[in-house]
Amino acid sequence: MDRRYTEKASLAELTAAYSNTPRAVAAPLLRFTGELLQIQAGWTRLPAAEATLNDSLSSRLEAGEPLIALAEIAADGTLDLDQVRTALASVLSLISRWYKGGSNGDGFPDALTLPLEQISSGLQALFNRRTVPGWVRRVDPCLQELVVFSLGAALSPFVQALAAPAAEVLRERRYDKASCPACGQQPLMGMLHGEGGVRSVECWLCRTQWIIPRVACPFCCTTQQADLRYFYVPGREDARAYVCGNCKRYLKVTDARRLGFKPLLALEHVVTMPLDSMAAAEGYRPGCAPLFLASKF
Amino acid sequence: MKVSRRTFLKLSGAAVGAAALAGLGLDAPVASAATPLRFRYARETTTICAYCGVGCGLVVHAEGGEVVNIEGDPDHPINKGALCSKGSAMYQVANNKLRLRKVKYRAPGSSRWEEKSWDWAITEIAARIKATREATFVDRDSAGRQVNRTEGIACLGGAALDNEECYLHSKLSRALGIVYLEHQARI
Repeated sequence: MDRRYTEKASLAELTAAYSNTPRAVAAPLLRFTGELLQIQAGWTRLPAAEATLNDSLSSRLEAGEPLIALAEIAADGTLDLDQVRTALASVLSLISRWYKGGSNGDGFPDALTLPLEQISSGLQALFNRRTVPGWVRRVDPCLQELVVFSLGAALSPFVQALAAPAAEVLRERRYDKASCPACGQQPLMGMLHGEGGVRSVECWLCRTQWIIPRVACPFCCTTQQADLRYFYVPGREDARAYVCGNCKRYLKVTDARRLGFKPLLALEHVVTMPLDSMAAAEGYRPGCAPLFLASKF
Repeated sequence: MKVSRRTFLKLSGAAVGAAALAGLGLDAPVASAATPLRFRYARETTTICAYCGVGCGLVVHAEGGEVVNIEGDPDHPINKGALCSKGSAMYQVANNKLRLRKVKYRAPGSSRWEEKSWDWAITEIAARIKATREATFVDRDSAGRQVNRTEGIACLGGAALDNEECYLHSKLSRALGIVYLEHQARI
């Protein structure tokens, strides 16, 4: 990362910095996301199966295979489901405090009483985008998406820990495939950085960053420049949404060169949410599969 | 541009889903922030710097066909996004009030420039090349060897010519019999 950027001392400071800028269009959402990131940060420090990436990094990348087989880690013991259950309880507790539809989180399942099989089936549904498992369907329909979202949020730090050994290598590497080289999921947000304006993206799940071509669609990989555009809000040139006329998907990108500090892309995603609605109005859909939209299950 | 709350909820961010936003009461501020904003489309196109033979890659940003910014191409193997001082100023090649947009002609011995049309200029250049070539054409040298050349015209290329342009430049010159030929793309 470019050393010109000021490193913020803590996640709380960074969240506060975002809240105090004109870009903070959704201060409550920033606070919620900041609290969620704090919870996740506690779990990423765990030594969770950190040495599972013994395979040759290069050969797997060249073969286009993600380094972590998500469909297997819940079943083969790589993932400690007891820990995931505890993390899920923390996330559900946070969400229940914020939830406006009931009092004291009425209707949320108690993660600590969920059998491990149910946790495992929920994660498999996430990975494979199958139907919502039965135990989630029994939750109030209004809460289902929040529960599925919580599963992803609880899982994320563990996959981050698994991907950590590779993430440092991948950060400097160019990877043209349309999915995360570490876990196979989609990039949520990107940034332009460095003096050369390299474009990097970050996976929604494992937060691994990798470099993608500047003028190419990160989802369908087309390089037809006639299909590739971006839009931005005049006066707010530090963020843009790259849209692809070929696959009709878009990627939000923040220009870190204009920010003056190293951005946290999870928060950048929040402060740039107006771009999402603009892209939707223009007929584009997010390139990152809307994993948490209940209609997709 | 207007975005309905329903549209926003349906298609907004992926990390926090639509119903999740609504359930947390966090959807309305974002939707309302987006509604009054206007945006502009731009396009990024890759090209090569026109200044020297290094051939650095550029990314040109254009809005409605007008160049609005030019920066180094980070994916280009030669410059990896970096540009020299001249390349960094490439924007002013496209946007410069001093840029000539019409043909200017100064006749031999004259002290003033005249404005001419492109048709006039191209026709005049062709006529003068033809006249000079015919006046200076050498079909045999002093030893009697056939050479078929003109020594009255020299041709200078440009540093930014690519392989194909150099080929055409060379082919045209040799067809005319020009021997004082310099394509200049050699850095």
